[in-house]
Amino acid sequence: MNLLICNGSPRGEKSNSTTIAKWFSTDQDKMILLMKASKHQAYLDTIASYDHMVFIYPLYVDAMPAIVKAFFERLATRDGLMTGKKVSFIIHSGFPESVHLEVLTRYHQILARKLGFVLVDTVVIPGSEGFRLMPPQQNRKKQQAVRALMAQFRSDQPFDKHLLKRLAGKRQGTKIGNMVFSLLAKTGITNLYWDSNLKRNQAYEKRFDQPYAEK
Amino acid sequence: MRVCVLNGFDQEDLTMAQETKLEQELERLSQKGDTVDYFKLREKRIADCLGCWDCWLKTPGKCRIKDEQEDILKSFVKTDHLVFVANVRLGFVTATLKKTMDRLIPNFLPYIRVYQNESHHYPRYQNTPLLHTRLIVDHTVERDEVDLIEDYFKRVALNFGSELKSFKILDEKGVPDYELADM
Repeated sequence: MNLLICNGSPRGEKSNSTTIAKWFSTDQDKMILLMKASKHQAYLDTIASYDHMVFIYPLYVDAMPAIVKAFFERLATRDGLMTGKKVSFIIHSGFPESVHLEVLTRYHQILARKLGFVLVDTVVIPGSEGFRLMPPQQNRKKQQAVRALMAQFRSDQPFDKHLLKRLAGKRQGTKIGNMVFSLLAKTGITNLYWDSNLKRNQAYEKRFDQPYAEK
Repeated sequence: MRVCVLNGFDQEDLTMAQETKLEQELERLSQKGDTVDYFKLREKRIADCLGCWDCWLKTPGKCRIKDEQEDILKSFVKTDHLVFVANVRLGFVTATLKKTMDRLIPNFLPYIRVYQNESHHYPRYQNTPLLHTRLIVDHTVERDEVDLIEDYFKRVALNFGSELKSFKILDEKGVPDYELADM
């Protein structure tokens, strides 16, 4: 079964969503980039010829990126387009806990009811920032889990709940874990990724700038 | 008191009555001496977030896109109350409102802190406004949609290091009132 992959990352091809899609996609699958708003209307015709769709997108301010919501709104303009299609979602965020993705997971159930598609499930992947920069062996187990789930999706098998749970990880950090993080934060270790990027851009000295503060 | 209102209505025929009431209420607040920054988002030139993170890593605090979102970022820093207004579209807030929400991240730091037992970004500014939501519903909107949207704004408040001070549901006829005065 060929998949239509709807990549909702505003970063388009150079995104963690694209990296995740590459973990499971085949040459026969098709990917559309939802960040190309001018193509949304044309994408409706593409959708018409697929029975299985996977939406992949990152968390933006506690929900889907606005361009993804705009696309959902566009889908609703064509009556019956989504009726009966099998749809799964892969949502990811840079935060290490899955609690940030819970509201969005619930929303997919409402969206399914509104648009009439069959919601297979939502795959939740926290801690995704940097996937596209990591060597493939670094997150091999996550890749295998996503690949296995998408193989189940292609063959109309129910998702393996154990794999879903493993990918989602902990809902919240433990008290001890949070305490250790807070202690490490005081040393600056937890900011290394951000600081190295800021330094590379010669912006490190400006990192706390408040351009809109009242003078 | 300073109030920033982000009007994310996206459909005039559904929301005209409510929009008129909102604007009348804002006028009364202004006459009382409060400062009101009112943004009718569907009439603003505001682009989608590119996810480039320049606002964190290249030009800290400033978005690379030069459009009318900058006025909202400035208002956010000064305001005591931030009011999100939207009709319910497909079980969630409108893309019109969400677009502006996505573009608020320059006012936060990339750095992560543990806040209320979860990872969240530090605010860039000391002043964080209290949040309010005014949601227009019609007969097609079900209870679980409203509950989800309320939970969503609670998450946004947590992420902003703020609090969801009020969440009011209004029908398309304009009843009950906006009660902005009770902030």
